[in-house]
Amino acid sequence: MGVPRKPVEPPTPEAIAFLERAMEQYGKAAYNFAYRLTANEADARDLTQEAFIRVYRAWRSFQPGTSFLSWMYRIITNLHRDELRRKKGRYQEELPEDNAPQEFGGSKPLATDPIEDYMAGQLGGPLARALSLLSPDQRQVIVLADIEEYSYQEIADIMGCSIGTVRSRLHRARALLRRLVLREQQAQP
Amino acid sequence: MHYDLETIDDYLHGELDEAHDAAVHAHLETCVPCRAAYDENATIRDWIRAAADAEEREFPGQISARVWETVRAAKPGPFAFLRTGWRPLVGLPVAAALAFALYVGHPFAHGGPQPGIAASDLLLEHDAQMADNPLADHGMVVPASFVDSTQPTSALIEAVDTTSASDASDGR
Repeated sequence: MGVPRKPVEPPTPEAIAFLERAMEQYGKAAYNFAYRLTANEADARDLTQEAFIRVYRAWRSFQPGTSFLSWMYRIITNLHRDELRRKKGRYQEELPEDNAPQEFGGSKPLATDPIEDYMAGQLGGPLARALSLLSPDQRQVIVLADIEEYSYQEIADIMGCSIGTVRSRLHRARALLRRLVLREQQAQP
Repeated sequence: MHYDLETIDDYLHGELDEAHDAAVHAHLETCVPCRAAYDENATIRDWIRAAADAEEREFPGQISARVWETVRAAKPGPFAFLRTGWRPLVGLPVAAALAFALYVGHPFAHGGPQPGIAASDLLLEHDAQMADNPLADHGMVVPASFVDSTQPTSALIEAVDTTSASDASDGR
């Protein structure tokens, strides 16, 4: 990842113990979350690695008694957003805005079936293909609401937006997924 | 009356308040189009969950290896010594320097304004003299602080002795 790194402080026994426990208990969840956001193993690895380095650097600021996983997801969400902003400068067409009409990839003509196009062109499982139809923000909301089962308030806290925004993104994402999911279901034996 | 899809989504996620939740629940029992919309949304959510379970991945060992590598390669920052066991070694000299600076910076230390005579000091001195001076009943006693410093103390003592001696001879 191209995230600029601040100096990492030399290891202390407390920091090592914190990081060790964090990776042991939450590494899998963090990696899967990152994978669902990026739909790409290499990017998910980089994102998770950077997130744990952030955790190590900021471990003193973690408030005991609060949800570590929510904190972790917030770090991953912010890192992912930063990374997308950087990429957006280079590949503007890859990132449809939330409020803009959904172009299914921006430059692709709508005369062809966008779902068919994506299904044919994407690797990975059905979920990865489905999530790739969504904007990054919509993807985050769907993952947090439907897979991680967070409340709107928790999602708003993690994503740093209002409940109203969460609600509208979720609704829009579900509308986009409707056709694809129903088609996937019919295709299953 | 039908509920909009957002409200049905909110119901699906358990985000409605108790009264609203009960109303939507009752409505879905009887309204076929709303029930169909709810079922569709529930289907999408369930499919996403099932797909997520099926595609779940293990935590790659190379991530932790790379994280530890970064942590071990860390160099101390310019102020890192303040966060380590050096704290007492740094703190003591800093405290001593601060104490010295306070002392030197205080007006007493470099001939600044002298302290005035506190009223309470005067009263204490006055009380002490009233108690010791046998002439206390005969007039006001001037505190020593107000005595002209140019007059030698021995002259004052002599004056008092002379007065006492003449009083004694008069009495005879």
